[in-house]
Amino acid sequence: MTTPKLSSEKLVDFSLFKNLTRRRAAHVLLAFLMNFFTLSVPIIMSFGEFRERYPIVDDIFIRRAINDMEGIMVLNLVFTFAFAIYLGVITLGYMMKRRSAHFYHALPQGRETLYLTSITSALLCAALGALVNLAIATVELFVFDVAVPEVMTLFFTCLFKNFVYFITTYAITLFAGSFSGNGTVQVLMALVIMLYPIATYYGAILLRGMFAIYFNPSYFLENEIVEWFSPFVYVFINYFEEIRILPTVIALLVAVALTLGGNEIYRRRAIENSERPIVFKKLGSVLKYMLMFTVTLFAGIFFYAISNEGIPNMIFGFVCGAVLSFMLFNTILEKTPKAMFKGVKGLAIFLAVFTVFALVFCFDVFNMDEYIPSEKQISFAEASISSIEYDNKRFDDPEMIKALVTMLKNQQKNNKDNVVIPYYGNRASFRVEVTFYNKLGLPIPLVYEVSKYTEGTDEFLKLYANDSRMNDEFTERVAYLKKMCDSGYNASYSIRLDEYKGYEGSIKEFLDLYVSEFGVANYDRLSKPIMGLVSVYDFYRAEDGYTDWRNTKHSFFNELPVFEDMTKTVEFIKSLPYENEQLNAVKYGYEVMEVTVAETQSPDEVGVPVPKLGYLYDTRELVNGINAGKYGSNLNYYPSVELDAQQIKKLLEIVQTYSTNYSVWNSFTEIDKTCAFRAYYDYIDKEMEEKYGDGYNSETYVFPIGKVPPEIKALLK
Amino acid sequence: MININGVSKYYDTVKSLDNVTAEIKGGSIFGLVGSNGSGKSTLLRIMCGIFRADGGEVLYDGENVYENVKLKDRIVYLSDDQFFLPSSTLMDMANMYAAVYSSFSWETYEKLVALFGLPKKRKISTFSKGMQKQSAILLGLSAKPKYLLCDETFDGLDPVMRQLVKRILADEVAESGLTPIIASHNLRELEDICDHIGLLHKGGILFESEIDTLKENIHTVQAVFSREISAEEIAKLGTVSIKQRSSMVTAVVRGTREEVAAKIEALNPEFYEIIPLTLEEIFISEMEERGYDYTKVVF
Repeated sequence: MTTPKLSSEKLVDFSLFKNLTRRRAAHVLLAFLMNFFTLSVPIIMSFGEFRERYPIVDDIFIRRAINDMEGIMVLNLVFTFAFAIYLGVITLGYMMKRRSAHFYHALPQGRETLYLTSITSALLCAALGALVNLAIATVELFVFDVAVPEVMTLFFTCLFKNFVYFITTYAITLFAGSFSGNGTVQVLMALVIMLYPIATYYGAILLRGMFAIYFNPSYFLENEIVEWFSPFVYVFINYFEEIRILPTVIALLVAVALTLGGNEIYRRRAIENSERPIVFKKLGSVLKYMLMFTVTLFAGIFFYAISNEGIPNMIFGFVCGAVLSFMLFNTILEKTPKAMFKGVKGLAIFLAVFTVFALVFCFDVFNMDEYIPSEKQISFAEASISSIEYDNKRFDDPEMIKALVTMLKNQQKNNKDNVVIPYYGNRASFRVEVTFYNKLGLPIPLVYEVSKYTEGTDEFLKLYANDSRMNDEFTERVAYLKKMCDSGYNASYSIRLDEYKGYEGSIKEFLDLYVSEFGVANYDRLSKPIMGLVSVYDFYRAEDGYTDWRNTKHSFFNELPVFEDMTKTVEFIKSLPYENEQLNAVKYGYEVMEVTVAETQSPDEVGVPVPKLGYLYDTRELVNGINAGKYGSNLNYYPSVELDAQQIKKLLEIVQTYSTNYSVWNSFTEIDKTCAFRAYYDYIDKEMEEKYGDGYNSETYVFPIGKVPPEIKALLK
Repeated sequence: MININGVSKYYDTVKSLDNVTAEIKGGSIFGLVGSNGSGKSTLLRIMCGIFRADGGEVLYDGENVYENVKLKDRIVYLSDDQFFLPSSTLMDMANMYAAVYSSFSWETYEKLVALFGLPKKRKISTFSKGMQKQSAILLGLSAKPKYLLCDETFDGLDPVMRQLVKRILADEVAESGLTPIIASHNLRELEDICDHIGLLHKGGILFESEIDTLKENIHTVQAVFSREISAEEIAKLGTVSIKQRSSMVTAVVRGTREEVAAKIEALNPEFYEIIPLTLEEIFISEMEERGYDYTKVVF
């Protein structure tokens, strides 16, 4: 049956509007109080004596005032959200209870009129409360003499944003109310609308990423599109950004669409179904299975996470999630626990469908994870490698794309053949995050741990480092650092050479020296052995103590690598005193602090008994095996040699020196591929073992070309 | 004139109304009787446009009521479970009605408030059940509707107030042509006020008729015969039911009083008496004739 056109000619009935608004005086008061305690009162608290503390309007004044104002506006925003949801519930309250629904729908008013009149009245109530406070707050800012343009701009900008978020949240709540049968369900449905897309998206991506080797979840989890999945996320990310016209217009259009959509649903709403949690029975079923899907997803992930990554436990989690959520949603929808098992056939079908989903999506039965498109299929690629990355990662160059594809395919083949297993975090490999875009523009995001021993790696690294954008960004970064120094900022930085040292002060002298010795950022420069790193964390100005945290996302150029051949720079940083123990005074590195010989012997991973050796690295650990060998064999583990405790101690000391000086993280360093040194270690302390679990750790050492210690070379057979 | 044309209504898979058809003339008082769950309230809610019929339609002077604002302006629905705005007084409610009903009469409101003796500024939630009923009736009548749909309106009113309400309704019918449709499960409540009556059972109207016609066309005859008289002879009278105890016969006979008298006199009884039937007795007879057990239908 079609929905008849409303015969009402009025969208808003003025008489009803007046009557409704008069009866909603309490909500005007509530809106006033909400804004009063989140806007007017905090302004008094923050700015009442502000001018006494900051009598001069300068940078400090502005920064402090902005800082305080931001806090106030966030507080107001949080309550604005809550109030929008509350007001949405109030607005549609008349259609929720059966008695009131019958009363209102017997009145000579069309549904459209009832709906829009109620909305208009509710918005007026909210506006009255808010506008009075806006006036009070504005007067307060002038009275407290903090109404400088920067503060007022922020104040009105944030107010406008809060208004947009209020309207959006309110519209979502209205939309949720159009198919909900009571206020509680309406609130839950509003939250579902706001959180379901992002929760399901994240759940699915996490699940996909759990078992995939090459799938890159970061691409999806950190993608900008994510912020559009939930107003919460959008606000969280963008609140203090400048007002952007397009998103604002979109948000307001979405609000209008949801409001009108709510009206359309309301027109089809059967009044006799008031008080039924979801008024439309079929929609209730759809929502039930949609929510079950997400709950099942997270239940599986949760059980997998808490059970030491056990697949049977994850499957158990899936089943529990599905069954429990099925029972719960049945109980909610039917308003009785007796209905818990209603429609068990549907549950069975759901489980079957979910199993197919899990097999395809999670357990990758079609082996999609190993898919690497051919060069011809790729339109362009985005690639970044660990430790050094461009801001602009896009590559259109066919040569570069070919090098990437070749390298990844080779790596995949090596992984399958078990030839070389690169471990994330060791110095023989690097991580590359690649997103290939096919001709349709669809992304194929991958992440590979690539061994430097893999064929085609050198070609890729050379192309990557020799791209002129590398040097452009290095130049830009250094110019920025210099500009900060010239503006009177000091840096908070740390230097890792022999050990980590933290400093605060000018880096101007260092920078001048560094730039003069560094030269051009290309493969020739970056492939040299690195002696140390200078990490610039943030800047501050001594006169006001204000710390400005910025520009830390460029991991490479905020971590300035100091190369072996930059002798003057090395000398300079060696001459720096150990200044501030409080700041980043972190002892780092594998430093042998204590050596003990264990009483008993036990076979190590390769079945060769070796003496146990105490080894202190933050916690007490035990080296129980040492291997030295060549990469490139078909072995997972390298040839092992039997050493006595004294030999192990000596070797560790050597490795310690080299690992500190030459094994600083750098994907471009050319390593000696004929030699690798690996140590296995375990907890010596029973207590530690009980606390952190049994099992060994391993550390692989590789060395830059020409830097292999002779003692280790001598061990190679 | 209200035309209920083949109205059907389902609650999910449960059929509440099944192809209900009836005609209610304007200016009369229509009683809708039926047991609990017979569909009276559902029919009234469809008639006032709250519910949409799954099949059929309700027409007022040819216009469909659903979402018809102009038409609904002439209809007031008094629910069996009255709703009043939270914390409202009678005055608040009157303001609400005045805001939405174009014909709302403050004069009638004041007159009825005085007649019922209800406090205007006391919260309705503090009223007794009977007072709340009175408030609903008062407000409904003040809106000056053409059609007043009452669901179990007399339930909860004391006998004095019931008579008062009946009188007011009768006056409104006479003065302004109001057409009240009163649904009740209690036939006795409707007997002395309704012109027309319809019996709803299991979602369908079993029959509907004018009460006067019903009463005029059926009578109980008690007759004593000096001779033996056979059931066949009595049946020729057009009896609906017969009870015979030796020479005394009690029969429900169709026909006007004169027609029945003529027929019985033709059988030469020693004595006879024609007694009018109560509405309940008429219903029993009608139901029995249609093969229903009246006690199961109404009570």
